[in-house]
Amino acid sequence: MNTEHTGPLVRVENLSVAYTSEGADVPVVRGVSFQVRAGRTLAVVGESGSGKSTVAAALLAHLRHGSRVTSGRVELAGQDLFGLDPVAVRRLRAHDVALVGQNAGHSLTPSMRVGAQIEEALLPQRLPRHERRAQVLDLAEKVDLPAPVSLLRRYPHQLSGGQQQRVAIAMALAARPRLLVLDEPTTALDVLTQARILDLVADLSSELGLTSILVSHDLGVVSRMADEVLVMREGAVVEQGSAQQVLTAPEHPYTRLLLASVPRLEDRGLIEVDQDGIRAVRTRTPVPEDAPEVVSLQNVTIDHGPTRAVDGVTLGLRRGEVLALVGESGSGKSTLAWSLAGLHAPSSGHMRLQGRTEGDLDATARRRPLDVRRRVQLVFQNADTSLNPRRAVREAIRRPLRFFGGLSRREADGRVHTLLSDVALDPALSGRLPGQLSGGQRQRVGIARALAGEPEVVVADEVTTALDVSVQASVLGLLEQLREERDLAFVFISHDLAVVRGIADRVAVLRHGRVVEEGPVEAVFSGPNHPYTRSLIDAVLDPSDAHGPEPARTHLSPELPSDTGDDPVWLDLGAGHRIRRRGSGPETTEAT
Amino acid sequence: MSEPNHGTPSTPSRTAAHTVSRTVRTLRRSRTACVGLGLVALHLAVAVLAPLLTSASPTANVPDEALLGPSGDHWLGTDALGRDVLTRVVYGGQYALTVSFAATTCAIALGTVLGCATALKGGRLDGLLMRVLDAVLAIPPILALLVVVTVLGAGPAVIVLAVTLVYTPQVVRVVRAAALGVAPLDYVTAARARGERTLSILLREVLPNIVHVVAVEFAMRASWVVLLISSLSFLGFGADPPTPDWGLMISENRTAMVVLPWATLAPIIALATLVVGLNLSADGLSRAWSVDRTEEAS
Repeated sequence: MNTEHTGPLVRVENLSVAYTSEGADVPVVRGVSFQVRAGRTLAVVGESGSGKSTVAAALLAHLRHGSRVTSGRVELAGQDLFGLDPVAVRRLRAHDVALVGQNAGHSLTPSMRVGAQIEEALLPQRLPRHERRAQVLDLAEKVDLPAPVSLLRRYPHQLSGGQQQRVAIAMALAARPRLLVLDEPTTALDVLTQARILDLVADLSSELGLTSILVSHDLGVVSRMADEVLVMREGAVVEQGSAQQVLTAPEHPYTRLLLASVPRLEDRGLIEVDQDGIRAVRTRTPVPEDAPEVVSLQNVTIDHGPTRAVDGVTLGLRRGEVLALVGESGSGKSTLAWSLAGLHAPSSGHMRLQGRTEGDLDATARRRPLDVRRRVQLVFQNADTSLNPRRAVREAIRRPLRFFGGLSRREADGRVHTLLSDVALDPALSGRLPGQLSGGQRQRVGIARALAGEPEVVVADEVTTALDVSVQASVLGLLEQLREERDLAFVFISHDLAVVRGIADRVAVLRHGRVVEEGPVEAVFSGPNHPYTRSLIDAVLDPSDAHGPEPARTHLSPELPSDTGDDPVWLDLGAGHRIRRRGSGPETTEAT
Repeated sequence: MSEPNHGTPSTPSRTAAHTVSRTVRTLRRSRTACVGLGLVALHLAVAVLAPLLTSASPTANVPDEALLGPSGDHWLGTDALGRDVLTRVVYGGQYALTVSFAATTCAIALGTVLGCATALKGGRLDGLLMRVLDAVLAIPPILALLVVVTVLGAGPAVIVLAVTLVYTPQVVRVVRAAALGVAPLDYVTAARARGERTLSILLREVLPNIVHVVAVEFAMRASWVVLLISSLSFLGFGADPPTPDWGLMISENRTAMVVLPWATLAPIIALATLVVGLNLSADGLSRAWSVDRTEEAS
């Protein structure tokens, strides 16, 4: 490719992409234009269905099967990418443009050692074998893979998610591309890993002078990485400009709405965003002091075969209270919640349901009495798989009504309509199949299904993680409203601390199956904290911090008070805020 | 679906009708599927309408008319016992279709229930059942069939039983694999958390989502079963004479093949078209549904 090119490295002019469905053209991208100068990072931002991934793929001269470019052109260093013959396209992808995808676990070949996969990306350079090997090692060190020599001999499934993503980055860098396309590179990772990967990419970009295009729905990530921002909606560009300007003084109402919908660490309650993008923080109604406990966990330990997922957790949940369980993936928070919902029994310890109905929760669902079982209900993370695709909305909600309540079909249908309006859905949707609903609507149906059992405790497992920010805000608002109206207690699992601050009354931080810190939400967020909690809080990215290659922020946290009290395990800070002492829990930090 | 909802319970059936019409549309676009389904439909029609298509009896001996060539009265001639070959081929479809349909249905039904149940239950039961089925799979089908038929005697019921025994393990493997893809999904987990019985989870949550796999497996399996049953008859372990059966006819008439080729060729052609038709249908169905799935995904 011509290297004496002057002007912007990437030039997209009036690009439109459409796919054909039943004879009609459905536009996916409409007249998108932008330029990226060498060495800069452009972020393409948008919600699901905005066409941002199609734009990213177009930079690799790739279109999804069945779609085509209806107008415009995509140029890399002056060369029209859609005018290339197949050989030139291969050369382009081998030398000039590299992609880091969302889920490295899926993009690596499972049956090939990771070292060999990185080496494969080096093949087009036609180096002698020993030089290639040396380069692989060099790349592995560059992306900070621990113990590279032995790690390169492993298979993808033997690596953690963060390590897999590092391998994918190494493969992308192997070809020394002129342009790096990052398609949601950290969406599948948890906060701490995300922070480390973003640091790595930022360092490499400045070190190697990379030009990159970052596709993301997460404005926090964008603020951390981008020089320029392009906001897309329904295939068209809504706003573009420097990151500083778009993220702090957005002009278009949609950008304002998007920015306002992002939960921030400073919000002391849920946010409500009106159409103009004005945000208001709703004040929380505190849980009454004398609220009775509905669930108590005593020393709960759960084993998955030889591994101990949850290790002696003692927690309580009061009526009308939202208890957030936070921690990285593998911290045991989901295992604990699923156990509460009756999906597997704890190996020791006690879980007890109190309040209106009493009973032990130590057994799996089928062994619990029906009346106990219905009091604890589960809402899932992924709205795509939480509903049976072959059953209409009505049937999904009717089943628990008939199963728990023994209602007749006619009575149940009436209740379905009430429940749908309770979760702010049009009852007319009851005949639809899940595939005909949006993600947010599906999640509401999932909530209605949980409410059908008339629960006292709802276990919500990362319910808003897979949703777009604006939808996320409205679903959180719904949960809060249900809590107030029905005095529901929630176990709210999340790795996003900004969301937790908005919705939770109390927070329990889990690490390696143990609670390292527990307390009222205000106390936990104002500190002092366990170092692990602090690292989680610091990893939250705030879109208004545009932009810095330097670590986003260091929250000032009060120092832990010196030794008070005589509890050997817990440091009690009063008002129910306690922190596990150093040395009494796992303190090791392992690299990802 | 933009039309207003009147609160009538017709909506689920309307969505079902939508799925059906979409499948029909995809099938119509595929020539393979059209040819295959056409052939199977033709065989079905001929078998059902047999008494109307021909007035002759398929079993009555007419010694005067033995071993005639094709003529106006007997389009494909007659066999050694003076029976009209075309009539026997037409009636032969009845036997072939009913017995293989019954046998395939039994094998698929049993295999589906076992496959889903073992996928849902998992654990030790799953391991044990799969090892047992592996052992059964190691026995050649025709050998197993011959053993069963020799022990229990011939007859349609025995053949159905034997074929079920032979083919269930293979169905279990296919269905189990499909059910394993559905079992960890959240809607199945939700049903487990409600404490539903395994059978209820199987029928409500799992089966509707693997029904396309089962349907394709049915069509594939049916073509194998038709062949297997005809082979048995050919070997003399299947239908008893004078039942009009294609395998039996080939076996009876092959000695006179040089003199009267049609008496052998006609049942062969009938058998071949049915098997090819079933195979093509299976092919077309699987393609139609996988096309459907990608449409949903985009």
